[in-house]
Amino acid sequence: MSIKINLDQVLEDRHMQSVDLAKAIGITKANLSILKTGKAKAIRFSTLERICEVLNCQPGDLLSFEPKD
Amino acid sequence: MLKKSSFKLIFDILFYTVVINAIATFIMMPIEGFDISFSNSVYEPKREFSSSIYIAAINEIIFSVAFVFVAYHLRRAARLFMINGEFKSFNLVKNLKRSGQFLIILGLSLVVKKIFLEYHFEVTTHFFQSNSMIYLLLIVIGLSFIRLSKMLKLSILAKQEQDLTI
Repeated sequence: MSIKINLDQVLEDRHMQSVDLAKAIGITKANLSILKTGKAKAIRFSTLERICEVLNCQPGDLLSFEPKD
Repeated sequence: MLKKSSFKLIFDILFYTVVINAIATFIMMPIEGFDISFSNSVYEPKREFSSSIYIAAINEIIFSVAFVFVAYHLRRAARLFMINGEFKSFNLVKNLKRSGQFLIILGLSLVVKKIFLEYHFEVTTHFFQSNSMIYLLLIVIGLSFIRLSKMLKLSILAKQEQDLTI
């Protein structure tokens, strides 16, 4: 997929663990892992909103577009 | 309500009966001189046998083989129905599609069989001759199975996409 998730980078910048983020936004660790590894097919606006609230960032910080070769 | 074991048993009986029937056909056909009217021995063929008898014999073989495959795939589909986890897999889709395809072949071979029995062997009171719609019904069921398998495939894909939406 051309859409990349930069959640790892943002978490590292905020010195935050995945488990804490999962607890804060109310999703399971397994689902957060799916999101981080790019296996997710879609993300709900509500989930994105909660992540942005907790991490104090913009959706653009989490997602980036990399065109295929 | 049918228990799981009964459900499995019905498909097992169907499969093994059909296999035995196919084996009997393969053994009996050369013995009977490729005469497909042997199952209607009370009716003496009025016409001279021609090379078309071999076409009828080949059709009988196609019928037997298609019947075996229909029973085999239905049996596998029934087993997958019983395993809850497998309901999400594409194996069920594949088995339903295959059984549908072979049901169509089965229906078509029955149509050919009817034509041969009526026009070449002049057997008009064969069991299946009583209602010609049964052939059409088989073809319609086959087509429905194929359509159903496509619907099932779409629903499994939708379910997978739903599961991967965070």
